[in-house]
Amino acid sequence: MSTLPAVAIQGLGVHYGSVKALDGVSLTLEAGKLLALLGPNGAGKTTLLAAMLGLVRPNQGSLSLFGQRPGSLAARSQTGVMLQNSGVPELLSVAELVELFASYHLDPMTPDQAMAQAGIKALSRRRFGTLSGGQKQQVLFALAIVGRPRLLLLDEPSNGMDLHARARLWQTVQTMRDAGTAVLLTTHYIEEADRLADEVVLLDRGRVLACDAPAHIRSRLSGSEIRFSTRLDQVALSKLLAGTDFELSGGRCRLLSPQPERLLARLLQADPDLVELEVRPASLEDALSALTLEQAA
Amino acid sequence: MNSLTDTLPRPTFQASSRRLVRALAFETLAEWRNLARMPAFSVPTLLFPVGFYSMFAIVLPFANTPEAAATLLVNFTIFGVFGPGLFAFGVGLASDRDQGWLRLKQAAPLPVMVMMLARTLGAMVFALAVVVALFTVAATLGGVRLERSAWALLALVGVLAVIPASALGLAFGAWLNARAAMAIVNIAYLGSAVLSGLWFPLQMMPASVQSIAPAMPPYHLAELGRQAAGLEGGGLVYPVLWLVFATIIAVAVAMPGLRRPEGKS
Amino acid sequence: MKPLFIVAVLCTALVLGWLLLPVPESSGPANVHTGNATTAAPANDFTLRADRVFTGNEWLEPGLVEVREARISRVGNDFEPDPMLPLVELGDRTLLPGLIDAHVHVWGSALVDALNFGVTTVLDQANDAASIATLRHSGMGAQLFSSGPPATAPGGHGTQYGYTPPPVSGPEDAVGFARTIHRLGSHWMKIIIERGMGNWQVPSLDRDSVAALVVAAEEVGLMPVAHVSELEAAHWAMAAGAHGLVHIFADKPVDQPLLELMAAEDRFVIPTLVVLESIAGTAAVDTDDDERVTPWLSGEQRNSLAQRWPGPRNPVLRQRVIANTRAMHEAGIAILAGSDAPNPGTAHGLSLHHELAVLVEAGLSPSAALAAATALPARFFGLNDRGLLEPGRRADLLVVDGNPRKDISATLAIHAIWQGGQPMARIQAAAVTSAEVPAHGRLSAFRPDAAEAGFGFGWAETDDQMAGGNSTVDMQSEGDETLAWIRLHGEIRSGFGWPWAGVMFSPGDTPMAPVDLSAFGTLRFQARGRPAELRILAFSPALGSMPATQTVRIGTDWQAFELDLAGFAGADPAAISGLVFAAGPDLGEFEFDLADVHLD
Repeated sequence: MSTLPAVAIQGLGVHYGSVKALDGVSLTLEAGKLLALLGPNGAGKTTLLAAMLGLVRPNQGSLSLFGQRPGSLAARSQTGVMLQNSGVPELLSVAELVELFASYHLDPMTPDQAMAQAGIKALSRRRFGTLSGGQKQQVLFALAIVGRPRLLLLDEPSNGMDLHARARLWQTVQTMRDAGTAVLLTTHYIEEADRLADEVVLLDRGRVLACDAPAHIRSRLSGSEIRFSTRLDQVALSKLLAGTDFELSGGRCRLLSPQPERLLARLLQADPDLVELEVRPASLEDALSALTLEQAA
Repeated sequence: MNSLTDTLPRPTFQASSRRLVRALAFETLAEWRNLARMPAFSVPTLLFPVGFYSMFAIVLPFANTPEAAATLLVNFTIFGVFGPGLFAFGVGLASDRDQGWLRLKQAAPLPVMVMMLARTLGAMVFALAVVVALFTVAATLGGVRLERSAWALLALVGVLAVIPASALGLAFGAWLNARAAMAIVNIAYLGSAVLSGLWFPLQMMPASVQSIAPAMPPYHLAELGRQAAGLEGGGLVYPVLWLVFATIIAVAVAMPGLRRPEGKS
Repeated sequence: MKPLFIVAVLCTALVLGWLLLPVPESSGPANVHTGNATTAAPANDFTLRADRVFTGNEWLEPGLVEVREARISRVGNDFEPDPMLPLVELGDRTLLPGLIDAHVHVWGSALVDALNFGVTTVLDQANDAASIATLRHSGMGAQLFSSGPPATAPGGHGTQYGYTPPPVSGPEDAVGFARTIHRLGSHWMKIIIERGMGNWQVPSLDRDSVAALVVAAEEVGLMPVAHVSELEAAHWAMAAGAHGLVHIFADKPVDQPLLELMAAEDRFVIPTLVVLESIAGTAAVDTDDDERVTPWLSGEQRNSLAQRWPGPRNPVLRQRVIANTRAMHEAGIAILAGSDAPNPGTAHGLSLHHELAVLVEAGLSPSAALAAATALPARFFGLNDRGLLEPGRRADLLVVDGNPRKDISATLAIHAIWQGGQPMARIQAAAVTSAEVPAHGRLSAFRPDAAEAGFGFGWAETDDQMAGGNSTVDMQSEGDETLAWIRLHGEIRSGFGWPWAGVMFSPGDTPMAPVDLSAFGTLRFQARGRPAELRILAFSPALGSMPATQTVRIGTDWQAFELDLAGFAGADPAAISGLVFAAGPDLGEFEFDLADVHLD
């Protein structure tokens, strides 16, 4: 059992007509790990989640959850899901919803436990329709965890949550990972991914651009972001900054460099009037956008 | 945190009938609660049949013989019980899909059959409520007198009528978005009721309507209802077969709609 | 456990509610005695005591019948009347179940006319489904059950009455026909086997079609019955399994095999002797001057009664149908009373009483004749809620003076009628209003801007749309101060058998109220228009709904016409309810002007 990965995807392709929503995606998620799925809108994250839920049929490649076909009852019974924009019957109370989802599972938490884990015990009698956006996310989280899943699929889980609720969410996720639950997360909060993920998968236009630990991705571009205003033109800069990927617009230049000190020395030599110089360490976001741009070029 | 530490190891999925029954019970309860708390659903489905029945049978002098009174009760019972199944599936399923609730349910470890069955049962409970309301009015104000077995059989027909109604609703809900479903299911509901002769006797309708009527499910349900109430013979075989066939067709039409890929994004 | 408890409570409540639902039998005295003494029994609950009670099966002399909630609750000759209920002492009278006429064709005032003569239920043997539905929903008069459209060959007997029954061209049409009439609400199926006689020849269903129709009828749950006029046709129908004949045949004496088959299979016959003897021109019963009858006849009843079949007297026909009926009765075959009203020489309601008398002449005892109009039609046509005085059945009741057990004609001496426990006041023939008719006799006082009348309700457009037709008419006032007229313009369209459109003058204060115009002898008027015939119709209660007609020919120039009022055959000048100036029945557009209408 435990030898089977929670998620195993090999060469997955999903086409909507001529549009390739996913194109040769491969990734693996082991028990107890957290994988962050990142990428711009339209990168294919939602399609990948839908494929994992069995809601979309892949055109090529393979995809299994615990060795089971996605969408099969066996796979679904081990998976907890939190989707974006899930409309829930607004007239049911929080407790009723959690109780309902608990009834789907063989060995669920008690509804009280699940609500406590999600931090919504105080809301249990409220009808879903009366909740704020963040509170609704917390309820959806409770629905995802009530069945004690071995795999959690969280699509933008912290959207709209306040800081306190967000902390609570990640604390619970962490506890579940410790107990062996695999977690797949998509998020816009890249610092969350940086902090929590064992592995980051960067998706763009249906392809995997990078798949590595956050630290490794950052270190690929370990270095700094440099910004300045200069008189030098494109040609001069190209010569000067050969091997880097700089942007120049209106005399303002931005680039990433693993060795900023040397580069700066050369720059100041070439343009002593260089002004508005800023240098700071590159973030994961920088690293990712660099990767994305690299791919686009 | 104990609840979290013991998540592994544990048995993989096994088809536990006990779990399914439990899930069915909660799902039915949730369906019923959701329907009952939705005034846009519960008010028309409960009040329309009772209101129209009261108008035709009590305010207006159409129930001038015991047979006419019983026929009116049968007609409006069928009218009343055809709504919950049709709307729970036709409009309910479409809006569940539009809202994303259906997607979340499909991702949950709940067999689709249980979900459909629960929705049907929820609608049946509602149909039973309609039957209780109509019978109360009919027995007190409407002067309807039926054999004890006839009351029970008519109620049974009323509850079972939810099955073809649900199948028909499923066909609408599987293919339509919520807004279109609301309009089209309403038209189908009222239209089929009128065309089946539930509101006015078919004999008073143009020949074209009379010839369309046998293509309407409520027409055959009303026939069963009249037989249940002891108003006529004619045999169960033909209407029951017709309804079973129509149910199968409707489900067959619905299936590709349920499986169709959802929008992009 | 809590949800289980709630479910259990709800289920118990449902079962209890079910047990509380009302059932047809009035549930015994216990229910009525709750409440205090001042809650008097409802008006429809009462006890009747009469020297003679015929229950449909047997005589109680004396007998008591208790009615609660529109149903009979107790019948006997010795029970103690409930002191809470009014006790009606009928004395030397006879209490019968409301009569059932097993063979009629209803339209117009048929149901009211029938009830007026104690016939509380009529069985219509062939009619248009739409008319039946409308009449059933009127809730007026006798209760109506019907075969709906009959099964007959294309162009056969039954197709001449202005509606088209679903065609039966051969055995292959039988199932479709049965389903169609079942859907249309037919209560049984009438199968017509009729080749006509003498100059009247029509296509008939063949034997295979008859057999297929019988099977199809049984399949959809309708009882098949057959119209026959010949012995051979009766054999076909009985061999196929039809449950009964709706006429006795007259071509030959009945033969032994038919008698044995019908007796063994418990088949019935509705001889309709009154209509057959009317065809034979030999009606034996005459109540034209009977004080028990004449005040209660409506115009339609008088009209159909006064009509005669064409052809010579045929006493042999009468003897044969009576002999055949007698033979069937003696063979033990059930005889049901039916009049076939409103055929010429018969009238709704009244003719059933005549039929009883002829049945007695054919050898039935008065009790058997009464059962033929009560218990037997109820039994054979599945009307298990009526036809007998027994607990649980409808309180359809008839009380007559005298003793019909000795003299069957006593049924005409009607004392009281109840339908479903409701007392029915008998309706007297419409009284002629003594509305003031001015001596000048001017019907028209037309002005250029208004169709004013000299008296009465006045002038109004009329067309056949009220009878289901499609003709149209529009009335305009024309002219100047010196001469004013009305212009009628419209179109005669098909849709009704005798299409008309035009203008009607109602002499009474309300439309169709009869007025005495016997002080006048001549109708004068001026007319012009598109050259055509103009029909002048006179309505009179004596004629029923069929007017008397005179015709003039108009041209493009004004022309004066005068018509003798006596020329309106059958119309009583002492009771004229309307005069109509109408175009038609030729189809197409019409236009005519009418001026200076007056009586001399």
